[in-house]
Amino acid sequence: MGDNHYHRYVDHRNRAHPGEPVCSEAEYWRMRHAAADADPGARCC
Amino acid sequence: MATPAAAPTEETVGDITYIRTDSDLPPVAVIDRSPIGARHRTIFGLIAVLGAVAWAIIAFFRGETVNAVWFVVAAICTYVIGFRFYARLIEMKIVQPRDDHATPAEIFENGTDYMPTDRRVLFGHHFAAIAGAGPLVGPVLATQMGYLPGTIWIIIGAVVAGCVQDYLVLSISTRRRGRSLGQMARDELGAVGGVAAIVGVLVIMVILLAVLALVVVNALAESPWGVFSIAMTIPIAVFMGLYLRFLRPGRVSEVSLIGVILLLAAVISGGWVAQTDWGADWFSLSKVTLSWCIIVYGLAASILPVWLLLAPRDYLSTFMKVGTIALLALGILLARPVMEAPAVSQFATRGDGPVFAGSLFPFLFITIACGALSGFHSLISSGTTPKLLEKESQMRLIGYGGMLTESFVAIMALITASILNQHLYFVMNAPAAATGGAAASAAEYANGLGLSGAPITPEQITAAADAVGEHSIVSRTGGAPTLAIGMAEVLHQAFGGPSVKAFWYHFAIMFEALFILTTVDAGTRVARFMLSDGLGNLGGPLKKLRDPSWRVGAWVCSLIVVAAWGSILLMGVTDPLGGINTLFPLFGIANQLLAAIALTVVTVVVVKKGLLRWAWIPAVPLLWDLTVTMTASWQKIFSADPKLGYWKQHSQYVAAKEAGKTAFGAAKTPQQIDEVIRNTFIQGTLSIVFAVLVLIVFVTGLIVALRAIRGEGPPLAEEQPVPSRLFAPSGLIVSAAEKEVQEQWDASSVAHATSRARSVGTAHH
Repeated sequence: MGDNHYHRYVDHRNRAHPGEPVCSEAEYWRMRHAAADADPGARCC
Repeated sequence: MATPAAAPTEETVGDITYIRTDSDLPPVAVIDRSPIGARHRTIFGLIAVLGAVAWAIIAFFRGETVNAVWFVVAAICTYVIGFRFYARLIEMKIVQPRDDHATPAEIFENGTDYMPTDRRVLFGHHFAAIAGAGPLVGPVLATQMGYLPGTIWIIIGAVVAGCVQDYLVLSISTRRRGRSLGQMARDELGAVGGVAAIVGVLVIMVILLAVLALVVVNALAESPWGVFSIAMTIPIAVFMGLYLRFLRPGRVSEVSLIGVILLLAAVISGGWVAQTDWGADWFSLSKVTLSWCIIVYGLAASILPVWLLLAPRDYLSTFMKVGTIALLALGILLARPVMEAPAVSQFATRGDGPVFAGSLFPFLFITIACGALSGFHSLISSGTTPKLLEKESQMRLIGYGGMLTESFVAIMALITASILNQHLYFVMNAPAAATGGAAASAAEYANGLGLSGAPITPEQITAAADAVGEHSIVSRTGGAPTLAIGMAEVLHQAFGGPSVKAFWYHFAIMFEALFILTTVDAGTRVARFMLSDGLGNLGGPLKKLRDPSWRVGAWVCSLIVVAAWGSILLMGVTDPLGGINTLFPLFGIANQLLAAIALTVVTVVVVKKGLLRWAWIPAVPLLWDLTVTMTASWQKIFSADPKLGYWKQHSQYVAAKEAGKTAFGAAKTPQQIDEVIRNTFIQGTLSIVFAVLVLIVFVTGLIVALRAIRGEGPPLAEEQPVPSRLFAPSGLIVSAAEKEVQEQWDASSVAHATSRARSVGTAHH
């Protein structure tokens, strides 16, 4: 349901860009929702 | 982004081939070519025999005691055989998955929208995105023709058409960096076909939103209990949004659980709110008022920030959708109800049924829509799901398997409608013009239909309404109330007894309305983006529309989209002829035409790849779908039967008006005659627009395919493959070889901190 999305983001950042600072969980979700605002996913009937 | 490396190395041990893209890493792909063993042969043989027995009982057993459990058995056995053999054939001959190639999720992994996700989690996501009200409502309406035609089409149609479309669209989008259907149409068919496809998707989206909103309006009108519990979902969602934003970000399961508990409380308290004077006063809304509420809600939801309303509603409706469907399946197995509907009804051949007009071919296939073949799934299979897919070989499970699950939902909806008393079914589903709207006239009408079984009395109709806490259930068209009564029947037998029947009814209404409204608000937003993108492409001053942060542009486009579906909705609720039976066929045709667009794109790609020998796999469903939709469109446009043809109806009412009549047919006043004239004009025009757009796409596809066969024309728009650097099992069950490779990855991730051992979604966080 999305509970682990932040953790997997942190994992990804650590793997792909080790040593760089990672945003907080609240910031991460703000970013996700801003992205959804800019480009919504489709839904079905 | 991974960089192209040297050619992959293969190592074969017995029947199993291991492929590595990097000599320092364990294999990224396992190809198992072992022949099918004796044990498997026995298991699949038994499943096939059991399925055949179940089908024989459904199809040939005449009497009044066909148990619903046989439908579940026939469906599941057919799905298993279809998935194991037909989907496997498609995989081997057309899709040819390459697990040594990275998927878009791996290539563009960013920890947000591109993310290789565990196959079981992704299966849930994909299913939640494709399943909506369509597979629940369509089969309920199709029960008018008896249970047998619907059952056959839902199960067989899914195996040979719906699943094939979903699977193949997913596979071609995955090879194209997760591009959307519209973009792929432009790439593969050229500019004309591409533009027709994009305009087609937009117009079809509008009619979809209007009809789904109409289903909700019909379910909630004059029902204070229903209106109260649905209205409460808005503050509940806003509370969840605020909780996730400010209190505990990321605790999605926790907040969804709180939301579901609040929702159940809202359904229960709706019962006593509806009994108070003020409750009945505030929440008994007419269809027109309710339509305006939904229109204003749709506009607000498409402008408000996603986190406040849309995202939390989405969590809530996903939770409810999966939970309720599982509950219904369990309820059917526990209650084991018996079918009341006939196998094939009189309306199947005569074509004059009150629920929707037209004979079995083509209108049964139009009405069932999403349960067997749904064009809208191609919008999810392209674009959304490829960005989360780990391995190409998992596409069979996600694409084909996801659609099988949706078909199963449709079968359950068909069962719940078929176990109802047939007189009651027609009392609820015939338009008010036929039933007269009151219990006495409705009983007289239903008893005059020549249905089997004992006649119904007005007292029985009133008692049925009382049992579910409603004032009246006469002419509650649209399918949702019928499904809710059927679900209440099943669920109160399995859980809780007669005292909770009204709760289950309103629970079912709330569940349907919840995710229809989620589709309405998300759909409005998606359509708004399509519109601003399309207008932006025209260039000039409109180019500014492509910037999603330009608020004025967003508002104007939202307003246009909402005005478009809102006006069709209002047209449907005020229509003297009854909205559902004129508009639902239009929705079905639209959805099936979208499937024709998707299947055209897929067939062209298969031909371009040089797989002419296997092109029949997508081409057969495409030709069937075109035959169905073009026949239906033809009848809707040209039929001389005024019940069927929009233009015939139009000309009759125009003639009546010119003759100076003040009442004609279902129209009782001159104003209603004008409404029918306007509505039939709009419906007839839309039918023509849909059919023409799809024919343009199909003809362009045919030309491109023929040129490809002659070796001319543009090349395939597949992207250059990038070697994969991760491993994941293909199917639900992990094979021995896959397990061994997974262990190597687990060991290697300890040595190399930078590689990933386990797919996300399952790791122990």
